[in-house]
Amino acid sequence: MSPLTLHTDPEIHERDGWNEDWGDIDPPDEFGRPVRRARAPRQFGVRWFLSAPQDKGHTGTMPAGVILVVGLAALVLLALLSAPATLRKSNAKDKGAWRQTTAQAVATISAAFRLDAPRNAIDDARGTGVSRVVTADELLAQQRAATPPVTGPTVTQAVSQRPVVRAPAQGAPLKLWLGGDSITGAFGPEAQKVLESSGLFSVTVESKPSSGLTRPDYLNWPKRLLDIANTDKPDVMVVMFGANDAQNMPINGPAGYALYDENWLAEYRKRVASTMDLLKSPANDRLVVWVGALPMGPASGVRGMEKVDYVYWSEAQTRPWVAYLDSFPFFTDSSLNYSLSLPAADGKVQKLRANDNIHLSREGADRLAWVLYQRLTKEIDLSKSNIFALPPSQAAPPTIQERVVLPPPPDSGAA
Amino acid sequence: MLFPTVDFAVFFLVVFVGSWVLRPYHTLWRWFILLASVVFYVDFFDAQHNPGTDAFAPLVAFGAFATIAALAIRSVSTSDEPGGDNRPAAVGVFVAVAVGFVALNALLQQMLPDNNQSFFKFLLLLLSFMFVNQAAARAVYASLGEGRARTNLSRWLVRALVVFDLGVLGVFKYYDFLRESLDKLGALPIWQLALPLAISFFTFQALGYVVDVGRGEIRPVPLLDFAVYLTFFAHVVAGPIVRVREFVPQLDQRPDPRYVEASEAFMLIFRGLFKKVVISSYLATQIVDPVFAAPSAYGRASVLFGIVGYAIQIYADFSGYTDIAIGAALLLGIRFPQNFDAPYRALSFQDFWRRWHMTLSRWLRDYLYIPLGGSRGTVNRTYLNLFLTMLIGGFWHGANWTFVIWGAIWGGAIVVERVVKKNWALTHEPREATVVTKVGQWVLTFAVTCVAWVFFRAPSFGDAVEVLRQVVVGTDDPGVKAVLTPLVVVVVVLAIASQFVPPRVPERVSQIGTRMAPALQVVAFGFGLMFIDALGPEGIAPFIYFQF
Repeated sequence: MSPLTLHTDPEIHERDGWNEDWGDIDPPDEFGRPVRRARAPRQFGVRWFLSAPQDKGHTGTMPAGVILVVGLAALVLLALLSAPATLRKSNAKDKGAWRQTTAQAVATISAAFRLDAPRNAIDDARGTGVSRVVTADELLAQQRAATPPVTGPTVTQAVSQRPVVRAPAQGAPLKLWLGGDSITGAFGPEAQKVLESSGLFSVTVESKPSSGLTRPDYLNWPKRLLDIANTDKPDVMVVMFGANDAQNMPINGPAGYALYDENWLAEYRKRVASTMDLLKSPANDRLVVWVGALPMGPASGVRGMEKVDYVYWSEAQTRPWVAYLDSFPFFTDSSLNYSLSLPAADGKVQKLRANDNIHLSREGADRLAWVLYQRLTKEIDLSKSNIFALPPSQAAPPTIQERVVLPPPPDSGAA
Repeated sequence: MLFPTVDFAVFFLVVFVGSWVLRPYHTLWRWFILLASVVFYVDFFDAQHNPGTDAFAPLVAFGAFATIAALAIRSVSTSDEPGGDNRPAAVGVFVAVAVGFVALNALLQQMLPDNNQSFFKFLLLLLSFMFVNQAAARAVYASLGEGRARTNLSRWLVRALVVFDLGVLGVFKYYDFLRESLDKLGALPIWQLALPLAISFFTFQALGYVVDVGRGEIRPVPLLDFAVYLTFFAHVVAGPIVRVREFVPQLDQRPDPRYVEASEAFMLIFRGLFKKVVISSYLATQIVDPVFAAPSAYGRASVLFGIVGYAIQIYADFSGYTDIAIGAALLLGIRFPQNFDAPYRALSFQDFWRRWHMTLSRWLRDYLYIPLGGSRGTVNRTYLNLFLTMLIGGFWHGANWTFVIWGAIWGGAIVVERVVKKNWALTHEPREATVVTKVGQWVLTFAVTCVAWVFFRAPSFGDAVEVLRQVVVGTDDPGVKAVLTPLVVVVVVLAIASQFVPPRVPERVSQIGTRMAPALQVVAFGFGLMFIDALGPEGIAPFIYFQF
């Protein structure tokens, strides 16, 4: 083994313009070797661990070894105190079994000594603990229990028909609520501008980054949507999810449901269906537009949007109050492959996506906003609109159309 | 790798041990820190950033470039004094390495398409960029005259390096903006260039180094020292912008491991985590994001608190990051300069910029304002230089007209303030400002700061105007959704009030920690971190300044 090189260049301290006030440093000895100070004898043990250190004139300092011991012990304590939350987060990540196994083991020890009690109390108080999440199914059951049953042919009639949304007029706009994950961060405001320019909509946007339907412990969208439906009573609700849903579901044990496996797809379908049912108004006078997730680019780390879109589309087929908006063809080439840039109706090529290949650029948001407007003209009587034609510089070419039928993707659980 | 994560905690513990064990060994310690910084930058812990087997060819290409560049740089100018026969060789090496950098990175763009390997591509960009700047520093130093006096050649070399570095920054950061701004001409093709992480920060630091060499203020440092300086994990992503003359001498010093400045470091790390994880995230999700997404949906008070909330959010986010960075470096025995000094207690615009992102302000002063002429010319020229400095500083933040407007607001405010103060001094006797005057100055400074932040945050000029319009002509209605909760008001008020707490208070509180028994410290730190984690959101949002 070659001898290690010690720094011995005394000139280096003499370079001009350099600040020398960086701490008390012992100069090297006459042979250029670093000087080791004599160490005071130390006794490490329980007594040392429990007694306060003596201040020897170096206020605010600690030996590196003590910092290491304290740091390590504090991290171990943190791991035990935060075990329930760590397990929850770990289960949601597609990180491999060792992470979940470790998190599970720590959580078991933590629970045995009741060290998880403070964290559980905080999480429950904040409503972020899994135990406090009310599922869409439960919400639906509560809603049905609170609503007096309607009997006779009215039910069949209402369910089989499209919702009856009043025709808006200038000065009497429809209340439209648009929300979802961070894709709506750009899409929402652009849609708001487009729709409000028609004079027929009063739009509210609610974009929540990192949210979706797989992690109600992070944000319980079904509950939030129900609150909005009950309090704001919008005539039209436009929702968009999917971009953050490509993750494991932290339920039923440490492994949870792995992304896009059979259980995952079944659970996701159940959540989508319950959420759609929650949004149906008793008088069937509310339209729900469910915007399909966008195709994601190769750099995004997000995959399988065609799988969640198939779930949305197929569930919307049996619910007349839900209009599925097929966004895919407007952001793909003719083979339905992801495209960063595409021509607008005027033929000019536009960059439609942000550099992360996930979010929309301003042009992409404009395009989707006009797709939404076009779709609304098919669902609602917008004859009093101020908009007479789509702007060719913003809208997609008229040759692109939504698909009538979405093909089941491989392993979609459609069979 | 993000600071407030378990991954970083584990990473830092390993680095902490390795650094103190290897610190006496000059070269080995430097290689260790460089390797740690590379792991941090690429986040090799995260499986999706793993380059995989198809990174072999790019690695070979980079390896060949790095070896040839290192040998070429080593072959020139090892003498203590500049000048002499090696000038042509030094200039030749600089040009050759710069050409090699362009060829290598064009090749890497082809070999490594934008996917999960982007970070790996960015790393190779950063390391190859380092070689160009080191070659430039050597060439500039060799071209200096007697007594390190500037020569025409050294000036031209510095200019060439500035154009080169800003060119690299421009291609990645401003190409889309340029293309969209020239849209009507339809001249530029669409390129898909992801913005390399931290490109602005490492460009600024490298530029400052070569300019300092060109001014004869420092000698070129060894290549390994420069590599450690440029990539050092604590500051590589979002600053503070440290100078070579501040950082490299510390590499040669050996701090005493018995006296690590733990109380200050722990205080900074805890404070930073709390600001980032709790305050910044809470305000962002509770009021700032909704208000800026759809201002017309909210009443006047909600929008006003949304704007003030953003002022607090960006301060908590950015100063939180630099607090953690400074604290982490301090635990390794390296001291960074202060980056924030309670900026929202400023009583003037100039005072604000002495307290906000201090290392950037200093960089802009030394490498932009002074080269523009500083205050050496006429009064009007000084005003113009001030305005241009702020305008360019604004544009540095991003390729959007909103940042230009943000810079223009600040440039205009500082110039107007100077004019007013100058005229006031001509007609009034100097005297101590009354409390009422100070309150007025504070309100004015904070108000202009908040208005400027609206342009900084809003995605477009129109959106920013819409937000401001809502404050003036918006309804009194609390809005469709209640975002203005009592807790938001309390957080905003306390955050502003905290700016007026004297610095000695947190200093004394932090010293209590190091006087406690180790067992008590463990309990305090463990519970403290648990509370921060519990009060924060699930998952950590990226730091705002990562995008710059």
